Amino acid sequence: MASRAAFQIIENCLTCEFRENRLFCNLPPDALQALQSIKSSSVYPKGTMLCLEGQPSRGIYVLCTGKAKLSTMSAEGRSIILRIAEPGEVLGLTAVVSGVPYESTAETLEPTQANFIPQREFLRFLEEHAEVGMKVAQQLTHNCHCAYQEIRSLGLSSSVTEKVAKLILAWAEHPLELSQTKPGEIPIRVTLTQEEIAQFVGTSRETVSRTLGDFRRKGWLRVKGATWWITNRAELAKIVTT
Amino acid sequence: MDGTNTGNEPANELYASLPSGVIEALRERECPASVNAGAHLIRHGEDPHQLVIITSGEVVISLPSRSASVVLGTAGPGKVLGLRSLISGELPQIDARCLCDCKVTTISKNRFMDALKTHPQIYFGIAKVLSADVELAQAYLKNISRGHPRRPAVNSAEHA
Repeated sequence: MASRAAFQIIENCLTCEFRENRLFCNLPPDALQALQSIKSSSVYPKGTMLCLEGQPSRGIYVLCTGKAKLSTMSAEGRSIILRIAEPGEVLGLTAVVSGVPYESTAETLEPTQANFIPQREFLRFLEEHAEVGMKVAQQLTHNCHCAYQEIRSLGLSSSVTEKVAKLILAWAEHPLELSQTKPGEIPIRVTLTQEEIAQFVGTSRETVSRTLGDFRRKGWLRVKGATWWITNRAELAKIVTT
Repeated sequence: MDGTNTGNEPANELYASLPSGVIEALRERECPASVNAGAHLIRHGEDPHQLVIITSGEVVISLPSRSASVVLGTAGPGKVLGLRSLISGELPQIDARCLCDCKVTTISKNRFMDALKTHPQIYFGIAKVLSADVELAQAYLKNISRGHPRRPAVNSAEHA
């Protein structure tokens, strides 16, 4: 587990500086106070499984900092990445609200702080605070929107090239803020491995490697570790036809 | 939840988890309608301005894109449509088209939002409906990856 010295922990939801920008956490003071009293905060290292697909739901996790990949297993036993959850998102919501097992596995992609709220306490919290109900509905709307986007991407894209281009363009919607960026370039941070990108678009790592290599050769993409620069967004966008 | 609807009246996925008093408040705002085969109950990119509850008939739900469309499945009596747009203000991503002559119940956006203000317990029912939609979308995603997408029936009272 990451040490407190290396990782800034948000102890108190009432004083959290990110609260107002987060879909779920931007609650009135009384609801925040109640949230503060029922949640328990923990910091998890990269690679921690917060919840496992098929496991009985125990509660929800609110991602305070860090990201988590949400994946599921196909009937063939292949891991499929559904999406990357960002700070502020609530994990395990569908399962807890419906009273069913977790529908996907959530694994941290980097050191992550998450607030856990047990199922019973969360459902009571939901019933007692109308604003929480609204936030939950908004979060589920977002989740559904993401799932539909994925269905469009996987179900309608005709080629792996198009799927990879779509993925990169989606990441470009949240660019990195780097001081040394050339005009027209879009820097992005990619925490996924090529294997994980393959799981995202439903292909092999080798195909992803070839596709990215092709984008680089054409001058559309520059890669340095986890930082990528989209150097020709227009050409990538041309590939996307669906 | 206490006082959950257990009556003999036709169930729908929203009312299923609501107390009887709240259901009554929603029923007072309902408006029945008949829709011909081929007509759209929800159209991608167009504000529905209302909640639609299917009471009879069958509807095909699809996810259109620029050049093609993915059929997510069919829905029957009990399915509630238009909820996400009402809650989020976003335009619908789906199309819902009647496969046969259908009977529906509608609640206008204003009347539904008014009911939400006085009965915030409705959010719990909304969360259940949206959770079911997310589950189905994810089930579909699992199948897409296999290359042979199955088309599961979208939630209806019979399937719930």
